[in-house]
Amino acid sequence: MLLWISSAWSFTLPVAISGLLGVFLVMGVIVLAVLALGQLTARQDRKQL
Amino acid sequence: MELLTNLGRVFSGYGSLTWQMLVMWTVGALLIYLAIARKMEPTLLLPMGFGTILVNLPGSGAITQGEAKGPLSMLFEAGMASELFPLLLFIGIGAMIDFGPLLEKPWLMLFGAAAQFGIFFTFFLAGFFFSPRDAASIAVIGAADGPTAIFVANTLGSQYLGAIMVAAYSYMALVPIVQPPVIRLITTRKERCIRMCSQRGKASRMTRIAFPILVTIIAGAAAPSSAALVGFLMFGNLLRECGVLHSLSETAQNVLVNLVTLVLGLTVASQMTAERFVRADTLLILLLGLFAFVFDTVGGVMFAKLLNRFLPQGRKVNPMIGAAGISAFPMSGRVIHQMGLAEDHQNFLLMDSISVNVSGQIASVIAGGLLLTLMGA
Repeated sequence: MLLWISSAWSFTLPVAISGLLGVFLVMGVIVLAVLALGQLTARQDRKQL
Repeated sequence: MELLTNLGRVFSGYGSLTWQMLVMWTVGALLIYLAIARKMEPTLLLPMGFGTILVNLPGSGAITQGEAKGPLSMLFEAGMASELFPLLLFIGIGAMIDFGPLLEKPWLMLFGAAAQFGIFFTFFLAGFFFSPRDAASIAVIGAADGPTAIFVANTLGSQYLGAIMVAAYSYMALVPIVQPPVIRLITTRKERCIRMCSQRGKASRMTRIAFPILVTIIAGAAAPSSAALVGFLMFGNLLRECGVLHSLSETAQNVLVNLVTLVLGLTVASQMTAERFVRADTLLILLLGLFAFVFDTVGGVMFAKLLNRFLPQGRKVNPMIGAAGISAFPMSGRVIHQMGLAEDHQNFLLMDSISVNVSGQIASVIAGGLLLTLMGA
């Protein structure tokens, strides 16, 4: 029983933690990309004005 | 005598009825009732309910026609085993979503990420009862996103597709019942009354057009298994935002979504045969799905509360908007807005809660894709 519980932990816990961190990382990169894009297009808008 | 034999043949099907089939008829009737009387996701629950009764008739020709496959089995192979139906549905969903408010406050996307906590926590819990592949498929019920749940469960070859689908779509419809008590339990009235800063940036047309392409590249590269899922969602959004394909965008939003939904429910029902569904596992899956929903809500709210510890007065966020990150779009965003109004008649959270809600749509696809990648699918 204990062996089964420990084997379940050893696989699912690392996957769960890395998955959640992965979602934060990918969403973080998207946020940064959108902010950069916003800056870029704002500069172009100012030039056009 | 021959007449009696023929009559016996006519009624032989009734002799093959099992109590499990009767249970499934009841499940089918319940789904139809929820769809019609309670208006819970009727576009899916009604075909699923009817399909459940259809496939649980003794020797149902919808599943097999003697040696040959029946129409529902063929639809399953063509549209589900190939993952075509959820992907086509995603084009329509992408075309329906306006990411504009989110692009004006892009940092709100982090709430979408936080609200995926329930998926990974449930994956961890489900790992004690199911194989890792089934655990991952069950956990994605928490994505509150039917097509993603189908896609992941199907790609991982889960044997519980029918139960997962029922749980995913039923809980999506239960957002107004499940979320408010959980939110009230973990927030104070003072926190629920926080008014959010109304200052927003501006999303240019260029940003709106580039956004779906950017998300496809970033998310697709991070989780290649979800490239199709995120790509189809974002393609639909590009149709909407490009401004030159109005008729295609309209078709994707209406005709395509309606057509796919029409066959999707029936096709999913083909997996809801008594031998697959009437098992103790099914109850456990429904319970774990509920866990995923509840902990997604908790994850989003707690992340907002954590952020508030570092934000100055006047810039604090209403922690309730974190709960909208569970993706069930647009129901969750509306529920949060209504909860805000119930606490303070002048507190309008709609723009922020809907922004978090659409970010949850992207985050749930990424979470599903990452699970697929981590499971080596």
